[in-house]
Amino acid sequence: MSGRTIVREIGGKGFQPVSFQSLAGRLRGHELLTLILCSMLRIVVWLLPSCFGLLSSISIVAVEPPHADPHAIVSAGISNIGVKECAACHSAPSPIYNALGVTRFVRLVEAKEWLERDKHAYAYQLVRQDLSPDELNKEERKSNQLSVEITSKLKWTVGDKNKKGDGNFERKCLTCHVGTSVEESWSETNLQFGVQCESCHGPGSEYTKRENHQQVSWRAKAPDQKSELGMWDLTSPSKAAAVCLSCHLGNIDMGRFVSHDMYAAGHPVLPPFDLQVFLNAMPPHWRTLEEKPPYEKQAEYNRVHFDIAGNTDEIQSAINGSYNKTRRSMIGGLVANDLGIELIHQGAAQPNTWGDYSIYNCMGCHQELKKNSTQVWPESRIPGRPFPANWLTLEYPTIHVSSRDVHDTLTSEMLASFNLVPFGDAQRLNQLSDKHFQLLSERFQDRRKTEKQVMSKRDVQQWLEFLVLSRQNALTDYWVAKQTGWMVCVAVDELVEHRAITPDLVSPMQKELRELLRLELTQRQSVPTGQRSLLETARSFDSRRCKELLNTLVRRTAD
Amino acid sequence: MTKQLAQYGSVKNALLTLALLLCVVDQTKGQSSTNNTSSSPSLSDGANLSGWGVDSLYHMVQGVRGAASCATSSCHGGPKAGVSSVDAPRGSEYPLWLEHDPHAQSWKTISSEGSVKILSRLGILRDGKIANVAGFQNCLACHNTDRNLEPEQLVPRITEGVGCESCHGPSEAWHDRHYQGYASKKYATSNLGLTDSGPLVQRAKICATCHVGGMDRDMNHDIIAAGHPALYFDMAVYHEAYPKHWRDKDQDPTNFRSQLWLAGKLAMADAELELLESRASKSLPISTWPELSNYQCNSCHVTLEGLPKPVNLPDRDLVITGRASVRNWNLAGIAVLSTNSVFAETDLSDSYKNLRELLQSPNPDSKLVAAKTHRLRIQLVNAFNENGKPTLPNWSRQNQTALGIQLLEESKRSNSWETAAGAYTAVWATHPMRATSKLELAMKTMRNGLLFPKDRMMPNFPRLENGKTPPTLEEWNDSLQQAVDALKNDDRK
Repeated sequence: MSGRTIVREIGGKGFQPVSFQSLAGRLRGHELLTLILCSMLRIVVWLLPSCFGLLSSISIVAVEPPHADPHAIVSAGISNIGVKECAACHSAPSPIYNALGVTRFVRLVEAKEWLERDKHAYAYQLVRQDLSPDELNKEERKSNQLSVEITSKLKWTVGDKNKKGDGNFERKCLTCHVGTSVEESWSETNLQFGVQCESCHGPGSEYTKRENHQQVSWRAKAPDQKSELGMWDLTSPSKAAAVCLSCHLGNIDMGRFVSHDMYAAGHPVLPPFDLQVFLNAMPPHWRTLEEKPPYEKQAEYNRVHFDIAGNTDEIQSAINGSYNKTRRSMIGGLVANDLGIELIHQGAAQPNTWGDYSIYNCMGCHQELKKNSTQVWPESRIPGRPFPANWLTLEYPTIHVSSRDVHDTLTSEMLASFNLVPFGDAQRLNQLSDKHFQLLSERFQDRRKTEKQVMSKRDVQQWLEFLVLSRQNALTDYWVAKQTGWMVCVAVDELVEHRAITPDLVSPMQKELRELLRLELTQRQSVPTGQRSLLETARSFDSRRCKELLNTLVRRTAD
Repeated sequence: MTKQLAQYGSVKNALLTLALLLCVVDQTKGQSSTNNTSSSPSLSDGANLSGWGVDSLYHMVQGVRGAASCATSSCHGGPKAGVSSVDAPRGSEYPLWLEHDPHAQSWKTISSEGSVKILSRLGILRDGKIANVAGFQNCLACHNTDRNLEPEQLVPRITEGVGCESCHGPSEAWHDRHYQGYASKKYATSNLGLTDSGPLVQRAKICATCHVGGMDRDMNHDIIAAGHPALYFDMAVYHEAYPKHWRDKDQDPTNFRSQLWLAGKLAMADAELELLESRASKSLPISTWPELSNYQCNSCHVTLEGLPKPVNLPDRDLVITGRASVRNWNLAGIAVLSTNSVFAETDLSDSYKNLRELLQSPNPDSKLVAAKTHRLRIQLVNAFNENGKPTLPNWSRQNQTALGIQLLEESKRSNSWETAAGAYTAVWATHPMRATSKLELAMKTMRNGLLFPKDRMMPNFPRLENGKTPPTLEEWNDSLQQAVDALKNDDRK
């Protein structure tokens, strides 16, 4: 079934808005009027947290037990209800909600937007094994054929109800292409929608039933309480990043991991991660914090998300003046850094299977044995031993971390242990990443502090300077350069947006940088077509020019 | 707290293990230095694996007198009277070696600018001093006769290169006796560590101790990555090019090259297994596990955006998606020799396949690899053993032709450089060619297809001449077919 048919089907089954008439029927006229007038904003408040996607706040209980993963995105004991339940309200707003202004906070077109325009909705279409080519358009068909090739090369099959297949397709592909967990089996109907509402927002059985997220009481809950009921706080950049990265980087424990076998069979390469860039590429089904009009609890709400004192107006203007996109991009990078170490931790915990090539730098091995090879082997490393992907081990300005030194020492010891034996000593890495993990809760507190800071123009300038200066040597690696390019462009764009700099000053360089590093995320292009030229760019891009451009951009954005 | 204690415990354990390991290494060194003829302790069960007679070449730390001690003018420093007779010993072995043999120059190689770079990259050399003695001894094991060098003695003593004793064994035990009649030479060969380089399998094994590796010398992936060329030994080819200081007067000249090829395959496989076992049992201080040079270079070293030229792929039969393919160059002989009833009654191909599959599994268990390798090695030696000596079977011209066709067909199927180059050398060794023959023409095209482009990092390998283009894949495949046809035609005659 194609995506477009699905839209029709959801539409056909009928969008069923919360029946305002049935609510009103029980009230007398003047009460109704009063209710409407008094509750206008209140309704807004009810619906707010469930639907908008983005900014700020905390999802996890303040004090973490030392070994719970603060980035974990599981809600034990809560189950998924399926996209159709969500679509009942989130497909098209009824005129009454428009009139009431509810849609200024919650667009109520989320499911439709997602289904028609968001690539995530097609993630399953691209991999499902039982499609006839006629059911897909040209680009989708190519990608789908690729996925059939991949599974046949790996000899993975669909484990249907009769247990004919080995179920590797579900366990290893659908964990990301739908967002299922390894244990839970999804119904056939829900499977077909790809990465859907609950894959990112959390399982809905609790917040839709026992504690209804449409009720007033929901509004009063803190983000961590909502999180306990299954709704993850995607307004927190660190939480949102953790959700994205569970697939876009990988999580071995969740069964979301592109192994080297899969890459070798043809799976496209996972690019580095930037939260803001990835969000920009998604058709927004949310209202951003800046877009939302103020309401009576705005100050309190904002206070949960930002460390700002003052009245509603002051807070709002501080938030609007803050460089939130740059902040998001930075937090995303920090969390990717955490989770990269966590990935090594998960891998090293199973010494028997340790050493899957996919956690290593591709170019470390995949270079032709040519003289004057572009690959520069880092001085400190023993030749011939694979090392982890560079972009995961970069430095970040972790200003608030009191254990910064411990963290840095651990990181360098971990890198050193990749030197100790080829592919790294799993036992040693397990010990080290275990210590890292213990630090993670503290680092998570740090992420929370950082993400609650309002980022000023000066902060952005400092961030840019740190970013480019600390990576001077690492920029020969395409993936590092790409991630850096993304981060720099996000910050520079936002400086322009806030009129801190004029566009003429930076746009020619940005344009060149975008082309040089192929920073644009292409829309709905077939996977095989894009891959080859991307990998060619990765091998032969002009790193010297890239460094020049980045340095110039930093200079021009400084005062 | 418990966790910390546990961690402390594991650190303590690790230190203890390390200390124990060091003791073991010391002890094995001590043993071998006092008793040069003992076989490796890890290979004591099953077949007699010391039948190769080259054990005295390993762990050579004592009893080396140096090449000069052989160079008396009346001994090997000649020429002496009677050399004009083809049957007489040359008597001029030392000057022949010194002036013509590249082995005599190997000290120049290891002192060269390129080698200094390699040593520095590996951290063996730091600020002009040897920082890793074991690492340096591993280099000297093949680049110099004597490896038992203290860093301060380094410069004066490494000028010998690969001298007499590197191949013939440390001479102290037999030096003063080996010329006192035939019986003493025989005694020295079987008891005192003088190697017997006459039988071709043993001769090939002597070469293979370095040109493949062995129980105490490991040219591993670290060293290759630091700049050392990968090893691609072939006995028949190397023997042809070698400036000889001896005479093979007892050999049948019409069949000599093919016998050398066969001896080489056997010795190479044995040496590779011996090396693999010592790598997997981690008996060498410089070895690593998993060891990447157990795999074919081009199964990883390919660019991602496009497949390399087909002849640059790893063996098709060995490819498992996403896994490095096992290096076949030295081990190919096992499959070739054991599937052909001319050579062996025991079929080793299952054991070999089994070991290969284990090596290609993710994170192969070193102990299991060591055990399987050991078993395969015993099987191999047993299959080619007569009266405790490795022995070559007789094979006819028909057998040779059939083998050539088999290998050419295989390389047509697998598209791999290793298989194709192996087939090329096999046909070259078994079929002395005439300049006008069709086989010769086909082989020329094949050879051009196998040459490396100029920019490839494969030093010391024949390159395509400037301006010449390699044959297209089609031409190359045609040449394989033509060679097969020529061999079949040859067979009919």
